[in-house]
Amino acid sequence: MADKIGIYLSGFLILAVYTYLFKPGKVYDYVEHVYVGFAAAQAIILGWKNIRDAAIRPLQKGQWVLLIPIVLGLLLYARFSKKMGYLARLPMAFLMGVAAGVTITGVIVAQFITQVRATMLPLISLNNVVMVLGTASTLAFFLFIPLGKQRGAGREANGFSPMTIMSNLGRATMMAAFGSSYGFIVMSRLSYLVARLQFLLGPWIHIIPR
Amino acid sequence: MPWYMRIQSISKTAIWVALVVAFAIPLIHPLGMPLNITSATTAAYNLIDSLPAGSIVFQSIGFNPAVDAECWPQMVAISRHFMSKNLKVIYYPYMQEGGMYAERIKDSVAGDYGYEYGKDYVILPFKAGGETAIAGMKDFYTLFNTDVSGNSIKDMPIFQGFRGMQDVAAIVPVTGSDDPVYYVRYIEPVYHTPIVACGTAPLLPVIGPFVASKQIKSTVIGLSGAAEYEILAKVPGSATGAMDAQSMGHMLIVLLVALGNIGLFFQKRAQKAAGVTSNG
Amino acid sequence: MRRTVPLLVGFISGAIVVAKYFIANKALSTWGTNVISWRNIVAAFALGVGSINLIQTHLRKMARKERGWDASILLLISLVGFTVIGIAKGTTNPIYKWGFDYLYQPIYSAISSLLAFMITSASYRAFKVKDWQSAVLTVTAVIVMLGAVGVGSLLYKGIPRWSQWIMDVVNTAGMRGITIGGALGAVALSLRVLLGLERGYLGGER
Repeated sequence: MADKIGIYLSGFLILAVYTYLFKPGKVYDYVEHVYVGFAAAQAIILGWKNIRDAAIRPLQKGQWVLLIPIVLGLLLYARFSKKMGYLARLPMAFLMGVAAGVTITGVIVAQFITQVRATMLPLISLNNVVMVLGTASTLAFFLFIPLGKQRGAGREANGFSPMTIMSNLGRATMMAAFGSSYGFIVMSRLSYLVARLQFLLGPWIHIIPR
Repeated sequence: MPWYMRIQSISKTAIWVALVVAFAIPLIHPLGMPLNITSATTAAYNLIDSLPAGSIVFQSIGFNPAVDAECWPQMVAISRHFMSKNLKVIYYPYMQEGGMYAERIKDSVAGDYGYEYGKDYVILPFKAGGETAIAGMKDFYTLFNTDVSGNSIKDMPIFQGFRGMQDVAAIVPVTGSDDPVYYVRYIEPVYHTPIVACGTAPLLPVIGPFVASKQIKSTVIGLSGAAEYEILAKVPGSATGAMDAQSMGHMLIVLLVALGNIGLFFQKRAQKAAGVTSNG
Repeated sequence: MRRTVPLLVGFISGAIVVAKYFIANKALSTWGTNVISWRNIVAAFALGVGSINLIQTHLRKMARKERGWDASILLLISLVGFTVIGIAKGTTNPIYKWGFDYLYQPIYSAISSLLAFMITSASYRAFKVKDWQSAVLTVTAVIVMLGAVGVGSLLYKGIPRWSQWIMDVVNTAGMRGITIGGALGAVALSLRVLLGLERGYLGGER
């Protein structure tokens, strides 16, 4: 019974959201605020569960060193005080420092060395040539001065310089990469609407069978 | 207004109505369009299918309701495949909502295969660290000592003899986020665990370099990936029925782009003929 | 002092994590593991900060009867109600699950589905081929869109193959360049954070 009521309510909530397309108004507002409230509740619940299971319970069993992250975590809330707000910098610096350390150790091998190694391909096929030139030209485009902005050289002189060729090649590769990314983004966004319509036409008003 | 200007000025409302109609017709009356099963999805299916019974797979759940249209059908199809192969599954909610989706698998899928919680599968708790939580998985029992409900995991049968991520046979993130990249950064270089990245369509361009370098073994991408997996694993699901609608949506967009560009082409020609310099 | 001590904390905590990776030492390894697990605990505290800010903002809105204050009542009822249920009874409780399945999930997914409408009308208006770069962008987008679904192979049987080639070769080449560049940038930024050169996260002077 609760599920049946839930399904009917869900259908009306989805249509309430779609009123935004005609005129964003009170109905959309109310529905959006209910969702934001639940999202915030979820954050509090999961935060509490993390703290209880990873810090408070082990602390009660004698792991006193966990007082350090608990105190740092509580100091985050100092930001709500005008006088003591500067204390919130300590946990922020801790969060940023650990994240920076973790990033350095992870990125160098997986995202740099392995990727560079994978680009070193023999130029014996069209695919390999495209891969090597495309990667090199994209990097060159980002790392060096773009076309038309080189100091001390006119546009005509730039026409056939190696940098101009690499720059154009890099742009072409990136445009193709962004074009294909866009194609996939479109596919993704359309599927969100397909799923809502599948629900409305199926479990909600039973036009399509389950 | 000339015809080439009119086809560049179709109203938003007309486009939106056309979109809804383009989706609704094939949902109500399927058109039977072909579905190409890609080599990537086939490779993902074969990798999981080749795992011996009793192997432990680590499924990271990195999506929320915004993107569950693509990810939920993938997760259901893949979980059904895991359970039909008698694989042990560790569900890890990388995102806050992940635990609720794992609960849905518990309520609606696990029972179909006689799966017992704690023995055949477990749901770990969400960890707020994001990337650093995945980095911390190298010391598994420092990061995790309870399941999602706060019960100690050391007593659970699924964790008997489990030393850590080195004992995981495959990592299968189903995600709308960037957790596959973090498994590539922190887990794969250490344990060389095969990663099958599943998720939203925009994920593929981002992880493409890692797939090409074999750091990610295979992928299941988007709603079409979910539909392909449902067919390969022979499990019922909602993705297959949605593909005709997806096709019509893509056709509509391609048609609209074509109309806009045809209009622009003839507009520029007319302006040139009239001796007017066009600024586009 | 108010900036120096936090910068020192940031440096020491990051340095321990980096040292754990490069130096094989049991004590360092233990401390590195501890620091990483402590970060997860501190991050859990951070989850509540946004929610408290939200509560403050909406209570102020209600007190001053600002525009939309009636919607704020719904937000606070939803927030407080589900927080109490979730903490007291757990997230596996039937009421909490019902709220997730029939309130949160449908609304959130419907809001994200509005993007389908926006992206369709935006594609129509924005995808105008004016130069070679926009031509490359448009052509690859169209091929990939058609290749990803069944209609592509109906129009021309080579489209799925071309789409696959664009993804496997061209897209990979472009994104690999961006990935490598991004990796260099990430390392540079992380070093700047550790060395205290990047201070934006500390906020303004007090």
